Amino acid sequence: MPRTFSFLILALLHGANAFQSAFQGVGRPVATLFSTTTAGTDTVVETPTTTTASTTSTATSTTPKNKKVSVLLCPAQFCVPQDYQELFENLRNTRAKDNDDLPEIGTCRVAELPRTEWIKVARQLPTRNFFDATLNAKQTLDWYFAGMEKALSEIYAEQGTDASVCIIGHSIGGWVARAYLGGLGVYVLFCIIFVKE
Amino acid sequence: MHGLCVYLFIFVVLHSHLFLCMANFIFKTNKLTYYRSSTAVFRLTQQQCTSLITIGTPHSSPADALVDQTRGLLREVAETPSCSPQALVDLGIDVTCVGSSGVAGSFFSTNVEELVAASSYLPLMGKLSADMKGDGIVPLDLAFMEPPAKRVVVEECSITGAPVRHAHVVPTPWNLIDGFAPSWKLPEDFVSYVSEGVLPQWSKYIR
Repeated sequence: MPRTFSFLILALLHGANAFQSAFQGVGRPVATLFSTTTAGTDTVVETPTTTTASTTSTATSTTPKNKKVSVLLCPAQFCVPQDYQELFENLRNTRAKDNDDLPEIGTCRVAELPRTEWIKVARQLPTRNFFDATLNAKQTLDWYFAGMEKALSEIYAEQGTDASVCIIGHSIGGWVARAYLGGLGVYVLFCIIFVKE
Repeated sequence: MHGLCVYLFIFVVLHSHLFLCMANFIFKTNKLTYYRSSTAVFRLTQQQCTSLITIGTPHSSPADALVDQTRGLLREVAETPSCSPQALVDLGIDVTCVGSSGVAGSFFSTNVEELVAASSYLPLMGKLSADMKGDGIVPLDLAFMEPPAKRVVVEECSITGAPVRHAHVVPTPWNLIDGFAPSWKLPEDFVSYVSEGVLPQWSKYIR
């Protein structure tokens, strides 16, 4: 009987993985799932005197002045939330001065990661994947993704679930944020609860 | 592949209730339910995230790099279609990569910053040329995603003219007693992406 039960759990978890893979494609036009990038390189070199650098990027869009955007910052390795207060302060100052390009800044949060969390990477040290350089983001950085989700939850709690969010990633935080948005950090977990009376 | 995944998803959704009913019958329980967790914030964020800006982020690990410091993690992200800038833009996320060309890397220099930069650029790139620049840690060549992600190069501080460095602090990983204690702050004239004279150069890409 327990073996049957284990089978059911495994079947559900396996199904959950399939769901996640399927989910990564949901929400995008089907054509884009198979599309390749053909756009040209577009680099904007910012100089102190060039505050309105021109760009031909097709992704460029204007930001309404009255738009409000909250900010999630994904920190660099071993950096802590307090390290980025200067960034938030300068961001609000920039907005306050003159900058019409910048939307109103809402709630600002840093993914809440004490530097002690980085020790969790060491769990992967004795594994074959570490030596083969084939580590898996979901297993290795689950604690980072959890920190991001906690901060995002706080943003939505303060600003509402219709809040616009800008994610800024510093150093390693940039590609971790990219991994999260691409669905690499998400577990779809089915929990079965029995209540026996 | 996606079709297969969608099929499996539908199969599991349709049959999960059956599984639960079977388990309910087998274990004689009166209440049996299941919850799906961890995705509500993710799904909401995929809808609500309007822009992603990376500052001083390495976005690729060249095949000829001396060592893969991320042990395959960065390669996984770079090769996953759903993490590509095109996929993110299709989700309505404006993607901008900011890199600095402020610090050259050279082993034949008395400048400590250039020596440190060279020792960082070399293992990441697998080579070191005379004109290789970056923010002192991440070479400019690795700081960008492919289009349609925008590429922004910041050169110097608009107030002091100082070159833009990788960070404004020095992390203190050895301080495990207080995990939230701030890192060591570098001097004010040590300009980075977050400095007052640099931030406006890329903050306009916040959407």
